[in-house]
Amino acid sequence: MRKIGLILRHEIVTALSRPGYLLFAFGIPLLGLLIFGVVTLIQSNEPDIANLPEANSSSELEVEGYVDHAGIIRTIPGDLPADTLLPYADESLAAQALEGGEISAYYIVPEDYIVSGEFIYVHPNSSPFSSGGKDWVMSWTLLVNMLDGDMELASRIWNPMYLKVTNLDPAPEVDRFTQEDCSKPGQACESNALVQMLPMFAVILFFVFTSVSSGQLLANITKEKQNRMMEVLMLSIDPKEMMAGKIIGLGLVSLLQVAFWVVSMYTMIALGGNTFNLPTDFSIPISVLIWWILLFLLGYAITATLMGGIGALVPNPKVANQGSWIVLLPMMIGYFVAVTPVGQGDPHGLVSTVLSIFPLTAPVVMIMRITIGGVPTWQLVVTVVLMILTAIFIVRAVARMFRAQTILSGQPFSVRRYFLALAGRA
Amino acid sequence: MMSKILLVAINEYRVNVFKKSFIFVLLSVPLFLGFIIGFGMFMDSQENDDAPVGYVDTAGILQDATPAPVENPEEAIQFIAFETEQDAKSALEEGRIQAYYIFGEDYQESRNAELVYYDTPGQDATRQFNDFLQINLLSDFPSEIALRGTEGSSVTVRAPDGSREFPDGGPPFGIVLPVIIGLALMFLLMTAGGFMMEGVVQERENRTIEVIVTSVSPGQMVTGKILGIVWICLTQLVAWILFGILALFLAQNVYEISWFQNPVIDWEGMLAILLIGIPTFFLSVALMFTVGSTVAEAQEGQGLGPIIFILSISPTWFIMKIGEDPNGPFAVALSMVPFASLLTVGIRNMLVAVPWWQIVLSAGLQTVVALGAIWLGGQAFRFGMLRVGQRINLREIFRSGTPRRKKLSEGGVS
Repeated sequence: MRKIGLILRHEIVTALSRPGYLLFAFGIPLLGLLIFGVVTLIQSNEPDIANLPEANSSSELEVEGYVDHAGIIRTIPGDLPADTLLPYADESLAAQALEGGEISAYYIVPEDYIVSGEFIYVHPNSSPFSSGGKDWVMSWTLLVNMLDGDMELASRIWNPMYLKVTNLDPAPEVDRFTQEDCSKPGQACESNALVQMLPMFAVILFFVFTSVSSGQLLANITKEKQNRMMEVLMLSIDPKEMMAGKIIGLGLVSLLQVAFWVVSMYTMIALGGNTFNLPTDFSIPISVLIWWILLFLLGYAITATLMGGIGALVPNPKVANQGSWIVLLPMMIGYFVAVTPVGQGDPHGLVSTVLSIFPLTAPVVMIMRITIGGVPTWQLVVTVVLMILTAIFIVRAVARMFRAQTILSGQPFSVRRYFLALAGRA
Repeated sequence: MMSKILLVAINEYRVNVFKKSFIFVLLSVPLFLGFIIGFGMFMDSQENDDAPVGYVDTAGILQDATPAPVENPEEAIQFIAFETEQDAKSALEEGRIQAYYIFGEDYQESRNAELVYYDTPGQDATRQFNDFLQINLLSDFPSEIALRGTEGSSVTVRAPDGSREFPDGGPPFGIVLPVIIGLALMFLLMTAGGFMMEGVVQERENRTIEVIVTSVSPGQMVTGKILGIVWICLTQLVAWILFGILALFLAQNVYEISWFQNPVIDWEGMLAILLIGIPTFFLSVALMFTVGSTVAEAQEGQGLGPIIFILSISPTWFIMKIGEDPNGPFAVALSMVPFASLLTVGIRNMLVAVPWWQIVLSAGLQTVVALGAIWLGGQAFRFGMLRVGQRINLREIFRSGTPRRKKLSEGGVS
């Protein structure tokens, strides 16, 4: 037991003294908090534009010009402010006016507009990312004029229905017609990208944490095998004790990292409602954070132990990298499902549910479902029980591999040999 | 002398190309892109449902209804009129229709309508029903006016100098192509860098360098390795171009996707990307070479790859900032940063005409940095050649460049 403690302490001290670890575990969240603090500070000094009286008035529309080669525009719709659209006989005059600052942009309506439906909007900031364009003004003007100035009919064509939606499904899911829900993370919140993407961020984050920390275990084992340190260690410590010390040590280090990230995220979301434009009723329940950490620990225990098994069998680090995909493949499948519309669009569908219960994909898929919310308790219990049983089975199987003759054999690695070793037949 | 360089180059090429992992790398990018596109198309098709849609029209707006034209007649949704709401509901329950609309008597005044369904109707169905309603509301107008009112307008946004045009708000394929080339170059420089480091460190790691230097000079060895890696990259590039041409042919002729039809290639943008991409490529290779010459094991040097990758893709994190003001100070500054410049200029070029002085300045900066990295790599290789299994730090490399130390290192003493 004392030797496990020694290995554990060594792993923790080594990891904590690596600049890469410190940067990833503490540097990035601290940098995030710093940026968040600066942005919050700047925003607190700016006036709230949304509350200014003129913010929603039609004075937002700048004066623009148009060149109407089709001869459609005879009148400017009455609901647009006067002199919003100024006519020009040709494009050169409109371009001059734009250059002279008389107008902010201009439109060219070609002769064949009625047939093609196309018109050109000449705007100084033509970037699709810019929100400067107001091309609806010309679309509306053309529609009103095509309908002989009948604004009532034009308005009806512009928006033909005020639609009431009735979903007859007794347990309807949120869809694009029903009202959005921004009280919890997920696709149901269309107006806030952060809330909508949060389950995806959580999946990416925990996938990276689990694969990096278990990969670190593999790297440590293979490195010690390569520099012959392992041969020295084998003289004084039992291989199983060594594996236990390494897994627990790196697990604690990873847990510290996850906890720091989760607390940083929670702090930013809890305190930064205004900065992130979060809906007032939005929150991440503490229970979700606890589930995140629990699932991470169980996921880490399974993945890291499997990686340890690879480390025991491979002769050198290069082969270890090639072999690690066997362990990461199920998690990558889960990751792919969790970050694509298959999972995000239907988080409680058959595919997502099955993969969230299956122990090798659960660490990522269940995290996505928990973040979105609405997972039945029995599914959570089944998942955790299955993950604990799997972890016990894998720890026992891999412990059998950690024998001096296996670790130091130098035999070539193969997927078949790995699975046979797991089954206790190698 | 030449034959020895060729021998090294051919060996480097053979060792890297004729193995499964290279074939995997070669096929991974086009296959991955194909998979993503295929998956996107599959998901898109899932959002459509071609089952009929019903309607109950007590307002009398859809009597003697005229069907709205559909771009692809095979995708036209059938609209079925029902006398009563109960009939429509029965049809919905029996699965004969995917949804139904109800227009009450007060529709003309209030514009109120109701949509009833069990599963969210497909996007095609709701869009086509909207068109169907609009064209019938305009039945008193000439057909071309009714059609235009229904289909609406399509806007092409144009920069005042005419250098950029965005039909329907998005950039055309010809303008996006330089960004695609930039991304391909980015992946290429990542793999080339990886090959370079492995190539340099391999002989140091397995001690064969001590044997090789007895018959090949360091210069010949480095030249041969670089030549081999350039061949490897060209093989990759040719394969990707062939895949690209095949994909373009399929998009134009089989799937008839309008975005790919008659592309006007932005040759200036392509030139800008190449001007920046080529020195960036050599910078990546030279840096990997330097690291490979200083580390004791390949694993020690693997940290540089992710740093180059993160720097290269960093412009995507700032895409909104760059997009809002493509010629602003932030975008211009990022265009000068090694590795980040390639994608930044690609994105900016898609949105505005990037001033040539900025492209030349950026390419010049990348070239100077690349030349510096090549010099450093040469120093590191010469200094570290016989220090097998030892790590060399930057200070030692720089000191080896001073006349006294240089003489010592050339004499085999470090």
